[in-house]
This record gives sequence, structure tokens and C-alpha cells, in this order.
Amino acid sequence: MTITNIRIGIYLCDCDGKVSKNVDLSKVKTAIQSQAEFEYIREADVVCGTAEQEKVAAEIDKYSLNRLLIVGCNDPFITRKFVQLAEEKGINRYSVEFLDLSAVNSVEAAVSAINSRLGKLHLREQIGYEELAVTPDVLVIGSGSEAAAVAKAISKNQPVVRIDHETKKVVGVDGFPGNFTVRLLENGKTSKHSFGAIVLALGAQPQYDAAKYGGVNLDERTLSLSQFINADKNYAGKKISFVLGKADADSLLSFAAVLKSSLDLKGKGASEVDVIYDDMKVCADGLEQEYELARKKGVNFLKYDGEFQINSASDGATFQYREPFLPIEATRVAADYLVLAEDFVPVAATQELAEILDIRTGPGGWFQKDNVHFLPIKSNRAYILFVGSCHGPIHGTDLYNEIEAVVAEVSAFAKGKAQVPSLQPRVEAKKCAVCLTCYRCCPHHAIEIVHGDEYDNMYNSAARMNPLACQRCGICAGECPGKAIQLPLYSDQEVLFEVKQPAKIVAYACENSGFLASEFAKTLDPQLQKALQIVEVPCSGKIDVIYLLKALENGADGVMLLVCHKENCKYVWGNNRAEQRKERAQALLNQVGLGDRIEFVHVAANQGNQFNAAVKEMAEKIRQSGTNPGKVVK
Amino acid sequence: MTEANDKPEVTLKSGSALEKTYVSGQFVCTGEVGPPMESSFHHVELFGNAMKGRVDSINLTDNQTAMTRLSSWAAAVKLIQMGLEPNLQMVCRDRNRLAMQSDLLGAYALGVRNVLCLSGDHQSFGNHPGCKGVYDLDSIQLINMVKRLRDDGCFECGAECKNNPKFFIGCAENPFGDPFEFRAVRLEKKIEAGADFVQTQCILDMERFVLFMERVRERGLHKRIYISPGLMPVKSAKMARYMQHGVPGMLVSEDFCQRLEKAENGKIAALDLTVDYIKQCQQIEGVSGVHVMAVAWEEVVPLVVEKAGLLPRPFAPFADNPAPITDEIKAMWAKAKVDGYLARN
Amino acid sequence: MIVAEGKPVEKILEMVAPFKKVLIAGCRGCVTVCLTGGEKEVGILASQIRMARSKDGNPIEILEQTEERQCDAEYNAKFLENVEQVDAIVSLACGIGIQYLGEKYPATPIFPGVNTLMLGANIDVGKWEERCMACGDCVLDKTGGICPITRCSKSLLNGPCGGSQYGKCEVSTPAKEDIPCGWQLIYDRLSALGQLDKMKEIIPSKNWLRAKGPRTYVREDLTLDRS
Repeated sequence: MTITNIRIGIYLCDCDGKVSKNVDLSKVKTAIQSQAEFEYIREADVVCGTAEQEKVAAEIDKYSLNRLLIVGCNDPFITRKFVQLAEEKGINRYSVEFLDLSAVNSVEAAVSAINSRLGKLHLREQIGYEELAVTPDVLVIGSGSEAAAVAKAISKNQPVVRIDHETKKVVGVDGFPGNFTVRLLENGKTSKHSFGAIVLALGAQPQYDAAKYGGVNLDERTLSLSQFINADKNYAGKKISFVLGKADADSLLSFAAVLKSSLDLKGKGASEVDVIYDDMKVCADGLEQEYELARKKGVNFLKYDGEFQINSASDGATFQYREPFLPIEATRVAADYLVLAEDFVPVAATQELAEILDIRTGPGGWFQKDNVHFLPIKSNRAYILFVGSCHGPIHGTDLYNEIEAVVAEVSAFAKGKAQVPSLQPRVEAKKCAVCLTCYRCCPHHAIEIVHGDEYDNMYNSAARMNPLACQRCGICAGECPGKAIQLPLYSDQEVLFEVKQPAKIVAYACENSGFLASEFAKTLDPQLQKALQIVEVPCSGKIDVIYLLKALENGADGVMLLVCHKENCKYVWGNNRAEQRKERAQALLNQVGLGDRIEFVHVAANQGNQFNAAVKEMAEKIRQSGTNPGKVVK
Repeated sequence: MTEANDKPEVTLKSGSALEKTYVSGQFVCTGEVGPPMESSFHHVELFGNAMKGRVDSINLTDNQTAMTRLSSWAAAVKLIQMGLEPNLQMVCRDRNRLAMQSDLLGAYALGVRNVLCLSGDHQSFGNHPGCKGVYDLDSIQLINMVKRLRDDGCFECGAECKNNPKFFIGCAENPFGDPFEFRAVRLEKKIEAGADFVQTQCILDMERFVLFMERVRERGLHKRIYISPGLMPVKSAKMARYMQHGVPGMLVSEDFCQRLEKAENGKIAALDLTVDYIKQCQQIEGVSGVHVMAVAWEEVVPLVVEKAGLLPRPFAPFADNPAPITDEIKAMWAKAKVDGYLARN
Repeated sequence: MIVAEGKPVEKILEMVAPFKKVLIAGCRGCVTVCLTGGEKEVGILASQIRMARSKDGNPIEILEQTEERQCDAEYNAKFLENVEQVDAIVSLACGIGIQYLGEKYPATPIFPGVNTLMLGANIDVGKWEERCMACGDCVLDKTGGICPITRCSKSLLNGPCGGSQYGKCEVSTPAKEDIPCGWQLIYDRLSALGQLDKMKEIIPSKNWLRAKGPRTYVREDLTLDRS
């Protein structure tokens, strides 16, 4: 959607004197008035104040403004407030831009920054909202208590189908969030079902590892914890000793189960219960209380350290160990039954489902990559969610928090329709060669190939990004060999406009890391900013080879890519694609003798110092290589 | 080939000494000379002379390992001038069917009677890796072309060839190539196409060759084609190891490598190994002879042949009067410290 | 699909050295699909050449245009306005497109920006494998649907040769180029199909006449009488 009559209002806010101490705003205003295209401009002391807000609202009406540029600070509280105001006046959030001038200290720099934003606002397409029909039904996969709990919680809002993936298996998934078509196999027959969302709650599987207990095999008197729980026998009058710490050292799952069983046993008349432990962790909610309760009820807690020996006989078992706090050689605990904690491993279906659903597994074969950008319940595909121990053993409150988050997430489809801003990339069918590159490179399964007379190319087909599946990383746009794909707010036009007259160093920065680091870095070394221009991108996977070249062609001396750390891209492999493109672009420069001018930097949001160090290194590098001789004088 | 033995009056296809020996049922022994990378016959004369009267026929390789060398037909004609019998190797890599047939006509007219039809090592291995490989025909189609020239008197295109060449047709087969199960079948295809004898890829893994021969006998192929395993004295343990890992289509047994590695005198051990393998081959049902292919070590062929007790050759030219070993060959023996080889026990 | 690779830029710079204004012509057909000659690569090459020439103090003006296919005259007609403005054209289409665009504008020199490599399949992003050599006489019926002309390094019709081992071709070097033996593939496929007997048949020598150019193809039932 393009709107023909763009009417921009510009507010130059002094932020209570913070800006004018470096830059004379009235001079900025005069300069802008003389050259830029806009409808209305004025200065303000504190434009976010309540009285000012009312004034802005009136001005929006008076001048029929439909886009706003707020020049001042970039405080999230204020941006939220302005977005709210704008939306109340019918200007959506994508038509409001904020520009932080707090680190700028010359009129010239301020004007150039404002012009750059204004240009982008002019180029920006109007973002609308789409209302999509969706299936409210949710598929929960898993047979254990975690699956039952999440299914029950979701069912309060919308229909749920729960399958165990044993008698009824998922054999294929097509389609997109809101309308997944799932093929299920039961009794040798497959059937198709429609679901809005899929929740994986496979749980974890206990696995006894004899090597951790000196090679002891399980028998009638020495049981694994899961054997003990599943058997659910009557142990009245018996002595039971649990051994913790050797297996499942990282989670609280075994400890919680042992506490629960100990209290149960005490209630059902067991003669004595021991918990023999190595390290005790009670950091989860509720465990501390249960532990105290168990002590009160007479459960013995015994600490061992290092070596131990287990002997099992037909009438009982013994655990011999060294007591760390007493000066005795060895302590021997004899029990009717010895119960040993086990490790947890992913259930067999984890890998199989990962392949069917094309979702990622990480260390240990659990669902989800070890990636700080992923919320615990999120997979690389929208509305295919994880809950519970299938992404690593969890317990108690953590589990309930996850269930709550999943319920909230899938409830977006509860009413059978979903409203989304139409921010997914656009495909210009005329340029689409249906080559499948975007389809193959999308980490989110958000792309389909559609056919119809409306697609104006020789294939009558084009790629289409699903608005619910798409996560707006822009990797597809960076890959497209036909330049057919444009990501709203970050179209090639908008991005390249920013580097038309670039600073000495242009840094394309991922908004999840590099950009945040640059904001932090500004506060640490404002001087360094002079020669630096930050161009924000939604993911480093959006940084096209041509972005790097154009910045240099237009006169920059060096280009940087500021990307998330390895294995930590919010969009799975965007940073890897960026690195490959950097290599290509540098090779292109080397081929024509333009030297080493591209720097690829992994940086986290909180690494302002590393950011500044990288900028200094880049500056030093171009000081050595000299001014970019490839600059094209127009 | 007991059948052949029973019928000595059988009509010969080419009349070559090689064919006569095979048909007679006596154990065949052939040698091989690689033409040099220069315009000189010295090398061919030197080694031809060393093998004179000691082998039934001598192979002349055709741009071996895709390196440009003196042409195999010219070297073959040189041997004929020396009174020896050549076996002309011809690969499909360098010529199309036009050129191959014209060379065959010329070679036959100059007295060549044996031809060995091969695909050839890929051109990328050689000293002109960027050259265009021809492969107009493959080895099986080449065999068939030579057979039709001989038996039907026609060119590949079907047109008549007067005074048609009548070659004794050889082929190669690699018992160590994959798919192993297909190797005997492929030999059968070559028999169907018209091959009279086969010289195998060099045997450096006797166990695998024995297995191959089992497959050959299962299909009765040993009764339809004369089989000479290729045997190569390998100069050093290092080379054997290289061939074990670095040469495609080759298998070298661990035993073979270790016998060279453990030996006090590796060169003597190499000759002993070859002699031992010849003797083992003589015991395998269906084997009609051996092809001693001392690649880049041609001077040791007389030593191996004599030590293996293969002398005198029944039908070879100069069989009664093998050429004396020249000083140049003796010097080569001395340099490799194999000059006392025949005197050893 | 036709698969091509970009030519080294130094070669292209040599070609355009005498010129001040050049059109880089892209194609939305095969070369876009194989990521070599679409609008994106046109832009990259243009930028690279502009910078190279600026560096040498010999600036060049470059126009960029990409159209549906350069192997059709009607699409090539769309380049007219830009061709009229330039001294030379660099085409990023396959060898067919380069020549055919050149035929359309015989007065303007045209240069190849790519090397046309093969008829191949797109195995995954950035990976292509040859599957056909357009020999004009398909034998796939005899070989389990796997082409010996293309996939055997020697184009043997009665393979595999002695160089096939462990499933690899003799020219295969694991470090550089891992090439499966085409005849091993054929053997495996026929084996799976229960048709190994086909390998016993001798395939006769091939009529290469249809594999060699210049070839033409005319369908009398379709040709249009424009008189």
C-alpha cells in the first residue's frame, strides 16, 4: 500500500536542555526548513510532557499529519507514549520515527541525521494490519504429566487435541501458523487435521547409567528412581534409602521426586527413609519447604563425599560411603530397598519430531538451540512451541511459568482470527524467478510458492511470506538473486538511502546486538561517534553484499557488520549468512585492489567497550589502508 | 584351456606367437615396455633386447598414465624390426574411431598381430590435464570394432574393409575395481564383444584375485578367454604403500606391503614376491599365463622370468637363443643390487 | 537449468577497458536461479567495476538492466534504450543469451560476464551438479535413469572402467572434488530395481552426430508462415 500524500510533522525536542547544550536547535530548524520536504516543524522543550502531547494531537489534526519524526531522545518510555498518541490519532506506529540527538554535537551532523530519517520516512510504504482466519485448535504432543497439564490449561480457552506420538503419530506437517495441516498416523491409517498451533510436551526420559554407581546393576532390592515410582508398591514397615547426586546432577527433577516420595512413604508407614546426597540444591520454589517438612517428618538426610560402594542382596542393599564431617573411615547404610537417581535424556521421539517439524535441537539432543535470544518456549518456527522437560529437565514453578506463557501465546488464535501488522516481506512477482533460494534460506518455514494469473512473470508464480510465520529477519531479502523481495521498514531503498552520503565508517548493526551495543557505546566514548554511522538492520542476515559495496562506492572508507555472537542469532543462521557475505564482499574488493575495508564483529548488546574497541580497530585499519580510492565521484 | 590343448589343429585367428602359446596350452609369459617421452628408440631397443627370447610378446603402452609418449604403434614396429613380437596397446582416450581404425590398418600392415583394447587413464592424471578426452568409443566397443574388422571384414560403420587386419584381441579387466560382483560380468561382456585374451590390472592382493577367479569360473569364462594376471615387481615398500592408498582402482594387500617393509633388501624381496605370485598363479584353475609388467623397472623382467622357471619360451622368437644381457642392463642391475639375484637360492 | 559462474572481474575489466559507458545486462531466467546473473549480481558487478575504475582514475558509467530472458528476441528488444546510450554491453546471461542479445544489437560490442558451465540441478543453496550434456540421443532407459554420458568422467556406455573404487570415480580427489562413479550409481539403481540384467547388454557405439553442433531443431507442425 502506498500513500500518495505524505505529510510529515517534525518535532525538535530539547529534552529539557540536553540537546541545546551541544547543538543550537533553532539553527537546525532553519537549515531543515530551507531544504527538506515536510508539512510542519517546530521546537519544543519537553515534547513528551502532558500539555505538549495535547498540543501535538491538535497539530496532527490541524495540519493533517500522517507521519511523525520526533527528534530528541530515544527513551523507550517516551517512544511508547508517542506511539500511543499517534495511533489514537490514526497514525500507526510504523509511521513514527524517533531520532536521538543526545550524542550529536554539531548543527551539520544533526541536519544530516534528520535528513536521513526524513528520507526514509518519505520512502516508507504504509503498513496496514491484516486480519487472518485461523484455526483455534491446538495440538499437544506428549503422553506425560507435563503434556496433560499444558493441554488442560489451554483447553480453558480453546479446543485441544492431545496425542502421545506412539499410538497416534505425527508423520507430516504442512502449512503455516494458524492453519497447520498435520498428518497423523493411527492404526496404519493417515488422516489430515488442521491446527492453529502445535505444542511439544514430550517430557524427558529417565535413563539408569550403571557406570555412575560403580557398575551396579539394578535388581529387586536396588531400584532406579523411575522403577521405584512406577512400581508404586506398599512399603509399610520397610526401610528405603534414596541416593542422589551421582546422576541428574544439573536438574532438580530427581530431588523433587525423592522429596515427594519420601513424604509419601512416611505417610504410608515406611519404617525409615534416608536421602543420601552429594550436593543439595533447593533453589526452586517450594522445594525448600518440602525439604523442611521431610526433615520434620523424620526423613534422614545423609551427606556423602566421593567414593562409595553399593552391595545388593536378596533381602536388602547397603550403601557404604565416607561421611565428610565425621572422623570415621566408613559409614554403611543398610536398607530394604536402595533407590538410585537416574539421568534424564530426550525421549526418542524428540529427534524424529525435530526432523518432521524442521525445528532445531541443541546440546544433548534436547529441543531448542543453546541460544540466548530464544525464549524457553520458542522454536525456530512460530506457533510451534515447547513446554517442559523436552528442552531440558525442568520442574515446578519453571514448568508452570512455561505453561502460562504457552497458554498466552496460543490464545492469540482462540477467537478464530488473528490481527497482524503486515510487516512480512513483499515479493515483486515480476522479478521473482521462483528459484527457491528464499524458501530454502528461511529459518522459519515462513515462505511458500503461490501460483495465479496475478503473478506477473513467466511462471505465474511467486514466493509469498506468511505474516504469522514470518519473523521479519530479512534473510530472504538479502538472499534474493532477483532483488524481488523487500522487507518493509528496511527496503533496499530505505537502507541505501541512509548511505547515500556515508560517514567515514558505516556500521550495519543488528538490532538485537550491534545496535544496542552502539547505543551503549555512545555513552562511553561520544568522540568516537563522529566518524561513525550506524545503520540498523533487523538481523545481520539482512545485510546484503550490495549494502557493503554501496557504502564504499558512495565514499565510506570502511564498513562494519556488527552481529550477534556465533550460535546466538535470533534468526538461527542470519549471522552466518552475514559472515559469508562479508567474505564475498571482501573478496570482491581484493579482486580490484581496494584493500581490507570490511570488518565483521561479533558483539553482544552489553558490550559497549568491545564495540568501541572494534570501531577503533576499524579506524586504524583504514588509517593504514588510506582513503578509499574506489569512491565514485558523481 | 585344456580343450585347446586337445585340438592343436585349431585354426588360428592371427597366427601370433602369443596366440600360439595360449592355444598350445602352455603357460604364457608376456612383458611390457613403456615407450619413452622422447623421440628416440633407445629405451625400446634396450628393454626389447633384454626380453628377447624370454617372453612371448611385449606390450607397448599407449600414452601410459595420460602422459605424452612415443606412439605405441611406432614402438611396436621397432620391436618387429628387431624380430620381436609386440602387443599393441590402444586406449579410447586419445583417438576417435576413425583414427583408431587407421592406426590398426597401418600397424597390421607393418606386422603387428596382437592388440590390447583399453579405456585409458583419464586425461586429468597426465601432463596435459586440460586436453579434451575423446572416448568416442569405450573399450568394449573398441574390442567389437577390432573383431568386426577381423571376422566380418568391415569397418565400424559397416562398410567393407578389403585386406582386413586379423588381430589377436586382448582386453584388460580390473579384479580390484568396484562393483566387485560386476567385474566378472564385465569380463563376460568383453568376451561377447570379441576379446580373445585378458591381461588383468596388476595383482598385488592375491586373495582378492583368487576370489575374482572363483567368480570367473562360476560363469565358465576361463573356458572362453585366456587369462593372464598382471604381475608387477614393486621397487620399494614406499611405492607399495602409495599404490595402496593413492592409486584409484588398485588394491594392495597388507601382506604384500609388509613383506617389502620387513625385507633386508627390498629390491630382492620385490623380485621374490613377483616370482612367488607367478608360482601361485600357475596353481589357479583358469589362469593361462602371466603378464609381467615391470612399470619403469623393465630391466628386471629377465631375472623374474628365469627365476620363475618360465624359460625357455615355446613359441617366442629367439626362444632357443635369448639375447645376451647387455652391459647397460647389467649396470642397472648392479645399481639396484639385484645383479646376484639368479645365483641366490 | 543452465548453470553459470561469474567470470573473474579482472577479465571483465580488461574487456571494458576501452569504454566509458557500459550496460550490464542481467537475465531473469536460469542465471538468476543459479544466483549468477540476476538483478542482484548485476548490481554487485556494476558497483565493483565502478569502484575499480574510480581507483584507476578512469571513471566509468554503468547502466544496469535485467529482463526476463536473453534467449528470446522479444525480451532483448527491451534493452534498446539503454543499448543506444552505451559503448558496450556486458551480459550476465548464459552463453546463449550473450550471443542472442549481441545478435539483436550487432553494432554494440558485447562481452561475457559469466562462464556457462553446465546443465545442472540445484542440490541446495549454492550447490549445483551436472545431470545432462544434451547429447541428443538419450540412453536413460538403459541405465536406470542415470546418465552415463554426463556422470561417467569418460562418458563410457559400458562402464565402469577399472578406476571405479569404493563408489568413487578415478578422477575423484576427496579433498578437492568428490565425484561418485556414475556407473556405480547405475549399478546400484538397477540393482534396486531388480534390473541388473541390463548391465549385461553391450550398448553399441554412440552416434555422436546429434551431440555436436551447430544443431538446429525445427518443428514443421509449429512453424509460422509470416508471409
